[in-house]
Amino acid sequence: MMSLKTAPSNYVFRSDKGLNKKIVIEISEKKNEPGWMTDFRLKALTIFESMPMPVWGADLTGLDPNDIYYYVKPIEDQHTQWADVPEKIKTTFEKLGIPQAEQKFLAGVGAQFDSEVIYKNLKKRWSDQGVVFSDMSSAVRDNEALVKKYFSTIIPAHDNKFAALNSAVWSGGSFVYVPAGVRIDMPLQAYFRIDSSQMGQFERTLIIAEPHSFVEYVEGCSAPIYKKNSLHSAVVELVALPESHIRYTTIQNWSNNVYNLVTKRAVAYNNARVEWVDGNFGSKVTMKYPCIVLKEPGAKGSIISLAVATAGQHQDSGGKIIHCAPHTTSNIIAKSISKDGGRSSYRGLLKVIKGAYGVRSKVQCDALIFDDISRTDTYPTIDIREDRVDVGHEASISKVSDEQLFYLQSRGLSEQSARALIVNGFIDAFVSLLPMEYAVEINRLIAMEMEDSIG
Amino acid sequence: MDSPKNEYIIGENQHLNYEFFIDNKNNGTVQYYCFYLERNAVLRAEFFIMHADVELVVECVLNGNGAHADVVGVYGAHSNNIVRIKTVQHHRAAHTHSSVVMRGIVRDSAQAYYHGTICVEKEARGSDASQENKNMLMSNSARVVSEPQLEVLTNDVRCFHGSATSRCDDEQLFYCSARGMDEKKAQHLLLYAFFSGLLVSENLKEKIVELIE
Amino acid sequence: MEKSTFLLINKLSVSVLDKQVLYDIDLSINSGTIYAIMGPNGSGKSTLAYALMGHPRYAVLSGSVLLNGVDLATMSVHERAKNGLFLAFQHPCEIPGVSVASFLREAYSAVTGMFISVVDFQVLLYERCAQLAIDQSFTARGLNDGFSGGEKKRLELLQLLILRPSVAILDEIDSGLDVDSLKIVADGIALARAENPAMSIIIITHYQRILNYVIPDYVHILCDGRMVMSGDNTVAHMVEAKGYDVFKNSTI
Repeated sequence: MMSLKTAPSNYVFRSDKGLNKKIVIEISEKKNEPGWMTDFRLKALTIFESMPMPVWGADLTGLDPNDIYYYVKPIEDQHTQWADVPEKIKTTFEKLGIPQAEQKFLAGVGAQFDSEVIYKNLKKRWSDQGVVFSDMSSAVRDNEALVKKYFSTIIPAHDNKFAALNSAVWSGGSFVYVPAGVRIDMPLQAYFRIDSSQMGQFERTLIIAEPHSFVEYVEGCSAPIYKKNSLHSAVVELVALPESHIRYTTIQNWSNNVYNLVTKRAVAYNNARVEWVDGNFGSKVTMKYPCIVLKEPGAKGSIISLAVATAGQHQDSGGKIIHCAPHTTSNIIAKSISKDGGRSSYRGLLKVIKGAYGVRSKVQCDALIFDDISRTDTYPTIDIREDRVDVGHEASISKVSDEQLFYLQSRGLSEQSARALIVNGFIDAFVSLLPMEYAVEINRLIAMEMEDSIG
Repeated sequence: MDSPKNEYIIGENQHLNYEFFIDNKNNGTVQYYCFYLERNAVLRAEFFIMHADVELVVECVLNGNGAHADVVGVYGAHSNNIVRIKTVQHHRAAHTHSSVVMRGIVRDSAQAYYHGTICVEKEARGSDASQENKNMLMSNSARVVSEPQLEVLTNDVRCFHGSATSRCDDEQLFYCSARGMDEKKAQHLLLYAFFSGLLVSENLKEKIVELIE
Repeated sequence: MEKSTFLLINKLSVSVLDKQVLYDIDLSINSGTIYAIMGPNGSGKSTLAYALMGHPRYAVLSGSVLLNGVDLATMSVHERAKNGLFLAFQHPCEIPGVSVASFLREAYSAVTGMFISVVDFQVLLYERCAQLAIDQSFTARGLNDGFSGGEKKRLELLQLLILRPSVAILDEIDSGLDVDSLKIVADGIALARAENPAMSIIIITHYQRILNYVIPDYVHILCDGRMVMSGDNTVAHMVEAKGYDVFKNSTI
């Protein structure tokens, strides 16, 4: 059983609005970071300031970088009282069958979780195997050499404006290290870290899988996370060394005021395998294109994503795969649903560089659009510079078929249930990859969406 | 070079069959075609680009209910050619149909760029649109960039697009060799298969021989 | 009829994707003779067929094959076909967009070295179709495109008749066929033999069934990549009665 402890009523730090050098230094000092990290942050700040806002992708004109708090101790960022949490959110939790205690945690009530017993056992099991699983800041202090070796090597600060931002002000996020040959038998959940800063705005995650290891990491939750602050810009870097396998699953359902701009990239070495499983619900705008660089022969990458855009939302997501070596394979399955005025866009890149022969790749994008106030787009780029390859891309857009609806209703299902069933079939490729609890939540979430459907 | 826009309005219930052959005489130009289709208008347009450095833009605007447009393109790029093709299928009325099929062979150090957009407006209920871009790469230095795009604003529509890039299938090549055909002959046969059934125009069909051999 | 050794296989060892599948195969194929090669699944029967034809995925580790006195290793795939080797594939691939007629005409020109006009070839083709009870419309369809298993086998036979090879390797030409189709295939083989008595035939099969119609002069059993038994047709009957397990531990 989980018990709740009230939050320590410490001095709560919150920066002024806007971003400057002083704030970045303060953040670094609060975390007791080594000099190289402070320098890194400052350099990134300069880069952030010099880069223009992107003009492609979703509409970011509503985002004013100066009107944001860049460092808020996570407790502040969440509601302090369960009573303050919006009713709709509380109801959603109930409908999704999420237990009371979790509800409060996820709604960001300033209550620390103390599921000591469960967590402690898991912690011991992992550390016995040499696995490191901690928050990023602790890792910088306790595993400095390892972190320094890989940090920002996959996503450098100048990669894009929001990566630069994250590099300057990152706080929270996970560090995972799996030693050679270790296969972690249960998914690591961000939730386990018992550090409420995981729900932070600028998480920075780094996962290193040594040769022949396996790790599955799951973050996020299907329940809506209500945030006061409207900009979330995370960076996730994955290093899959030879013969290793990393599966990174994200389910995100931010509240409707959030701009969710994420840079996620993995590098896969010899015969390694990386899977991004990405579920995007909610937020006002999401821009997220998980990327896999297949760096050495035999590497395999797959991206399975689901985006659901409802009223007032724009999900601009997809995947990027770059084949840099021969005999690499990849596949992307992107499913999206647009309803009630939502807009869902797939943006992807499939690139095969010269010399990467024997590549096989398949991209499949399917979109379901419910009504004529919604919108769906597909913007893939296929760039091939090598002839001994087999690359295909297909996309289809359709609506829920009237014949299918009729058939199911004639067998006793209500229209809502019928719709939910059809939609579940549509997204099955995605749901089948989730740990069971998540799969159940997603199915319920979809059922709820169908209920709320206009027509 | 100043390249004019060729615009055609296909009136109600009218049919237009259009074909155009582009070769290196058109090097350095932008060939821009825009077809406006009114109610129940029908268009069949066939384009052939033979080893030229050229940009081809074909736009179909389906303004009237029931309009129907089929666009087919065959292209071949060799040595250092850069071929750019852009197609737009714009559905603005109900029960309209469009299809674009672009297939090409890219040899030597040539490059082919394809950018295709299907845009389906709210008013275009009951429409269907498809788009296909297939490329056969014949050398290690050839390059293809394909960007098939879809923008859809109504749910009552069927849209499909596909893009594929590969070279001649090894099993098919083996089967042909096992029947006595040398490598060149086998490749030619497969390239004929690649373009088979695409063009209707006899003039253009004849050019395929030259493209392949 | 003079019997000369047309195909001489000497201690042939073959690997597929770095895994050895055939070990020291010795086989002498004489003209005008019918051979059956039988064996359980995975014994290497099809590997032998593909290796003889020169499929790039099959590597010859050691040994040699002489086709009419010439080392096969010196010939590319299409040269082997031109020199009289024919393989009827177990799973012929599809080439949509190429009609049966145009493919066969190309193959005919390539193998015989003779030019033939479209019209003349069509006459030849339709004659052969009639002999195999194949409807003429068949020849306008895309090569193996959407063909049933039986149709694919019949197309392979059609090619056999038109190309008149010296050595015909039939890789499981009986698999998936019902009794009627089997009879048509057997008749086709008989016809090919009648027209070209010097042709050698190698029938690769798992089951004894087809050997009731096309009676082999010699039967060889392949197990785990090795030739474990050779003899006359009685060997085939033994397989039918006792299965392949009886050979598992024996060698010649």
